[in-house]
Amino acid sequence: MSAKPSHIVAGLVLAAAALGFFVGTRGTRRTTEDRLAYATQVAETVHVPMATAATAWPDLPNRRRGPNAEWENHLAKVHGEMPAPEVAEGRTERLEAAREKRAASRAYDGAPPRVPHAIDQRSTTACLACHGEGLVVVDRVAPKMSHPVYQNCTQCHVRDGENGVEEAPFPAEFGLGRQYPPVNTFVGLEPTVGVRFLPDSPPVMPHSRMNRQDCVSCHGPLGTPGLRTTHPERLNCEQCHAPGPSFVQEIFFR
Amino acid sequence: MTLERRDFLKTSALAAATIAAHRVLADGTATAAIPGPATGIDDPAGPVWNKAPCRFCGTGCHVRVGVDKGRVVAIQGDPLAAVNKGLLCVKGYHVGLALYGKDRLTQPLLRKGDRHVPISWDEAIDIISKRILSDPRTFAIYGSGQWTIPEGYAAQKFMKAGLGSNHIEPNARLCMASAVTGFLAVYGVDEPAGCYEDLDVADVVINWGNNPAEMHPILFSRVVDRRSRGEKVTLIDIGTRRTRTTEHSQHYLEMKPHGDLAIANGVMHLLIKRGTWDKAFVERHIAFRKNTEPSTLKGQAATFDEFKAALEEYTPARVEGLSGVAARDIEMLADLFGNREIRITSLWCMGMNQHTRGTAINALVHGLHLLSGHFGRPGDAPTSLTGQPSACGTAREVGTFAHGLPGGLRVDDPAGREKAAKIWNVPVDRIHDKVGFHTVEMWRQFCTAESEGGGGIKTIWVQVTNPGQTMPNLNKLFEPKAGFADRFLIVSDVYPTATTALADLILPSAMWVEKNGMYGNSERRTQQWFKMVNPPGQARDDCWQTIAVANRLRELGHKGMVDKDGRFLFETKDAAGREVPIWKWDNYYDVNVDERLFNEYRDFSRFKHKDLAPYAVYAQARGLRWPVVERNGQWEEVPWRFSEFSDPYVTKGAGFEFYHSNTFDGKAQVWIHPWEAPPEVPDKDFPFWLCTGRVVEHWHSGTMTMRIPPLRNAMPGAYVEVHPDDARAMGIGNGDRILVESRRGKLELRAWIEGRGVPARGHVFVPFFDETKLINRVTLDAHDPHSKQPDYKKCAVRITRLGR
Repeated sequence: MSAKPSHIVAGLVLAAAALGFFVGTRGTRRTTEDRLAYATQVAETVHVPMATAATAWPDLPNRRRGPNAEWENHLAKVHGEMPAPEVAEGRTERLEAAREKRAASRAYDGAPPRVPHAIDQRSTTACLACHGEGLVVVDRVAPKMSHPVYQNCTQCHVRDGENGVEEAPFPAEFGLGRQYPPVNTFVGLEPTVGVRFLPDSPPVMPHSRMNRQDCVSCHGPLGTPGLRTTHPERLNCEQCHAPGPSFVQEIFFR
Repeated sequence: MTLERRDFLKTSALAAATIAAHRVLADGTATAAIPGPATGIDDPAGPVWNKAPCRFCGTGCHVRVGVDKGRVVAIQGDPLAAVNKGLLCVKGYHVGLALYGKDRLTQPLLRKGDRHVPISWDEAIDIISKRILSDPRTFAIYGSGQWTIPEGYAAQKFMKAGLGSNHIEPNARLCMASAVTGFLAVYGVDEPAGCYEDLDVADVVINWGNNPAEMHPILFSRVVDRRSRGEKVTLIDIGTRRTRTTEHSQHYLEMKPHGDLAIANGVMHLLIKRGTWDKAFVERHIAFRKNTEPSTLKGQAATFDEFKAALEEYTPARVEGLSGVAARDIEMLADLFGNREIRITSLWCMGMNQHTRGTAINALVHGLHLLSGHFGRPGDAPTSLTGQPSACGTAREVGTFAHGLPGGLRVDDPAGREKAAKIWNVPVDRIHDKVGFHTVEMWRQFCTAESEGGGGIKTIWVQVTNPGQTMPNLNKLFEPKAGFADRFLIVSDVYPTATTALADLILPSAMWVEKNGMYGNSERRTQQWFKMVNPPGQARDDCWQTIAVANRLRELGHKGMVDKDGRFLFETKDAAGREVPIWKWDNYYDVNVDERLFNEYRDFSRFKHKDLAPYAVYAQARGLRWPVVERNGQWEEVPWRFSEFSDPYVTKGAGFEFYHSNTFDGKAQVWIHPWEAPPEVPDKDFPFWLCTGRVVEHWHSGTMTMRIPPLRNAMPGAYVEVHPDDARAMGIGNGDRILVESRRGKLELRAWIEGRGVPARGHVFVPFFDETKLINRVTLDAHDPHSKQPDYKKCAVRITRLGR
């Protein structure tokens, strides 16, 4: 039985097509670091137009859209493991480290934290995608917002770092012993630790609840180690943890 | 430096005395209807918290200031404040850091050759006084909308009742003078009738050349956060640049410069043509007005037929040609304005005010709301916003302008001079009847040789502002000062600035919570705060500086510093009736000078129904909106003016009443104003439009915010925004060095493409906060004929790529 030339040609074409298809579907090998670096670069330079402006905010975290729909799909697959609950051992050190980490991105206890990554300079849509419910990607945590949903995120949270526009040296003509870049001697309020009024009583809240209404943001499973609760299964925080100084501030400051 | 125990006790005692005064009121005739503390709760575990309005923009948020060991250590949004309800913007959260830049000015400095050398306060006060005494007619004060109300009032009284000179201006001339002339032309009295509650209920919010997402973030959040609660609000952005506001808006109508004049006329044209204007409202409450030749703010009466005929040419097709906005979008706006079922609020700020036809476009937008009846119901309001914390409270209400007297009176009106002289107890001829130099002319006189028509001003005392960075066309209106030996510049400020660089005498000032103060925000809200910390070094209150010079002039024999009965203009007595020498710094805080000045100034507030309550009432409140009227023994504010449901001055049954009408019949004026071309249009040599403005991180010239590390790190320098298509055509990449040049000056900047904003094709945008990159060397000093406010938003430039 001999194959007709046309069959051979057809077979070759099909084989080439199949090979091409499967080769084509294999992605270039990239490490997670590459992807993160690329994403940062893209976010820094490309403004993604808001063709989906009509999407309501509650739908945003769940909706695939725009040129990054596939990326978001991929992001879901690299979801990190939920961190283990807090344990008593070594907690003091972790708490100290957590407080230092927090202080590094805030001017004082209670100031809005600065943003440690590139942001879209105009649209705030992307903020809620990660910070709406909180997200773990590999070893990185995007904390859940601690306050109700506000739409104009960049009103309070600004980039921690430069906007990419280079500064000219300060001209001598303004002289007068001025320091440039200027030095500021402000010393901000430091966070305190919740007091236990009896050895085994639950600590009171050491801070105001203003814009920190959602305890889970910092003290939940995705919170910074040291700040996390040892008992994430309990949901009614204020049943045991009374407001501390914030009580004075919020109730009697009238 | 920590707050000394003695000072702290003094401050606390003042606060307590004020509350005591208030309680006396409560036992007697009136009580404050407002809950609110005057002092903080001293929580032993933490800082002492106290209330103050924010130092920055005109929104007028209240912050809670945490003070520990004599220093500000924390800031919170004040949840009891109606304006911001506990929220702030990034500047507000970091306002406390503004006090602690390391290069604060701490001692008076006098220029000796190329250097500034320290001198004593006594010497400084003496130098100023003798300089004034030698030639009072060429002396001017240039202040700002950041003056507290008592500071502005003291400067105003010093100049007009003391020196008999009208050469006093605020930088607010550069900021909202066209809004003022717009209000005067339409309603006969200044300031918005609506309030911030309009933003909670409006169905449509239109931003006319305005970017509140960055400039008034609290008000913008107040609108867009309604969407988080499931409410529907339509945002329309009319402008020349895509901004953060555009991102939240359903409609972006990109217009050509001056397109706003055509758009407003075009919408009114359609309302008339379709018969969807509010005939009942117009019949009862509106008169029509047209220009005279030469034009004045009063104009002359016009008939409805004249009005209709003037609008005839503004068909959607023609408006599309003039404005660049599609005809169907003009029709969309006309659909909205023609629908009385919805509520429409218009917001604007510098886009409509820094406009060589600023008075006209302000009047047109008011006219559009009045013609369509979208006025005076909650959510239906034409509302202008201000950029400075007390542009309304001090500049506009205290009237620190070349033509103004407190309370809306004018120096060129005999009745106005009569009323002011009576309150001040000075001879009426003490008040000069000729309007002084407006801001641009004041600085032109100061920076021009006598042989070229200048020299009318030889000494300027600048307080609380930075004209060396913010005047337009600096090469003409500021920098030539350096070449005149006979010109003397005195600058009171908290940090070295582009202005102090050319100063002959620098005075270190106290700022914000280092002194008592009062501000008035964009919605007529008067606010008060107490001193909480000491100023650094020898820094002292601006108000004290003015009073000390007035006293020194009195000592030197100037007749104007005393009233008819020979009493000092700023005579202040303690509770026991003994005079306190408040011109001595050690005694300045023995009494509350703010309270004494404010309670005198209050008498002026009755002339235009802008009634203010006694000082003690404000000490208890998070601000109150005037008119604050005593009703049933309580001081009550008025959220909506001219509307019967809210304003007690409206005649019962009238519904609405414009009780300061220019036509004396309770009617507001709807004006005829044609479209006109801008004064400088791009051409072959200078093919681009230049627009300047602000960013969310920085406030005005950046004197404070550039010294606040979180703000400075987020936005460290100025840049030039170019449209991506223009950039591609010219081979410009992100970060390239670009030369921006106009007929007046040039500046090198880095390009930022698809950055914070995207200007229209053929436009570039440069922020003005960066003192190392003075874009005002490039801008134009052309100004509106009525308001004299210059146009920083449009002039012709060329851009050249210099390299990477």
